Amino acid sequence: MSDKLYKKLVALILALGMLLTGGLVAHTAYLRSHISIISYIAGEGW
Amino acid sequence: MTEKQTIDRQKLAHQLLSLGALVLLFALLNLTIFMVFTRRCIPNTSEGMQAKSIELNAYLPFDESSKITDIDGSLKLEDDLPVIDGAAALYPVFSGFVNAVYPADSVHFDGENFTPDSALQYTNTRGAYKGIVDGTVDIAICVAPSEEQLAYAEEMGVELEFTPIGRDAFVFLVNRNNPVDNLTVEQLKGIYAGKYRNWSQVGGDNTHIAVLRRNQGSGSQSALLNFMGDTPIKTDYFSFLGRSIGFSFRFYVEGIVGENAPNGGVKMLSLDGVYPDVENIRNGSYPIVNDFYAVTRKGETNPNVQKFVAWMLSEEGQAIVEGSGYVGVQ
Repeated sequence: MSDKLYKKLVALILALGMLLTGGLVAHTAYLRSHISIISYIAGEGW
Repeated sequence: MTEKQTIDRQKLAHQLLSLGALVLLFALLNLTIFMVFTRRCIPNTSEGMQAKSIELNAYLPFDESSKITDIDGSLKLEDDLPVIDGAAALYPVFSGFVNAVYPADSVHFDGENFTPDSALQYTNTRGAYKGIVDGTVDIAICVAPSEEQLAYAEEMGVELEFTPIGRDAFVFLVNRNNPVDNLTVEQLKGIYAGKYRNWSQVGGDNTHIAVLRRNQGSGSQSALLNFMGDTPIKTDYFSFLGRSIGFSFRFYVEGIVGENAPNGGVKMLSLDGVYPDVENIRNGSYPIVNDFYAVTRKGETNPNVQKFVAWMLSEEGQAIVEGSGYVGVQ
């Protein structure tokens, strides 16, 4: 493929990837702030 | 195939490989984040439990299927009913009190919470203390207040009276798979003060101790501050890593939340070799036992408030305290 198209695809994947990761981190922070201590410890999974 | 075509094919292959690697990298990153952090934050309790820290409709008064201790009280109040509120862990107690003493039509529940005109309210510890000071609540069933709650009362010119009506153990919790079963009081204070940061220092695995806390003003956070005394609590900025330690009240862990959770649930730690069961709370051998109180305003003019509080200390009231899983004061 052309260099221009390649760079566009890279930029798209980076943008979507960072959006997804950012959303997951934000959602995790939200869950963490709402979960009870007991549920959090119980779900440790060690 | 010409040389140019060969080069073009190789270039395309490298481009596709690098794009695939980028997608794979993000996929692995997000999967790791989910497996290590997100999954353990997904609550395993009902929506009602998540919203209120207790299933209100499981302990409703005047309900045949309720889990409260059902006693027909010798004291019956009909008018000028004191509005009663309190902590999540103590809701079964004060719901039991209302069930024994109040008329059935004094309590209104809309399926999720009590309506503003209900004599029984549930807003948890912080709401109950605020309500007592603001005058919207007449009796709060709670553990001892936080410094902030006392300061608010003083700022509003309200003097609070505390009548002990029961007691329970303040307990420390770990995941059931944590090999540590017992800690000394010194070790516990050391953990929360940041002196011990690894479980191997207190007899466990070589893993970070993830120190968990609760919101300021909550009953259990206030109890932790009391327990620590003059020893400052150090914030654990890595509390999302390692094996956790937390705290609560015994009855809340055993009686309300239970130990029904994925991965084995939680277990309470023995302190100085003493397990927090009812017998050890009653005989005083468990080192951290806290009273809980009927909190009222000094100079309260409604005579039913003092009548109701006195009844809570009677044989019937104490039977509800003990039947709810706590230890009575009488």
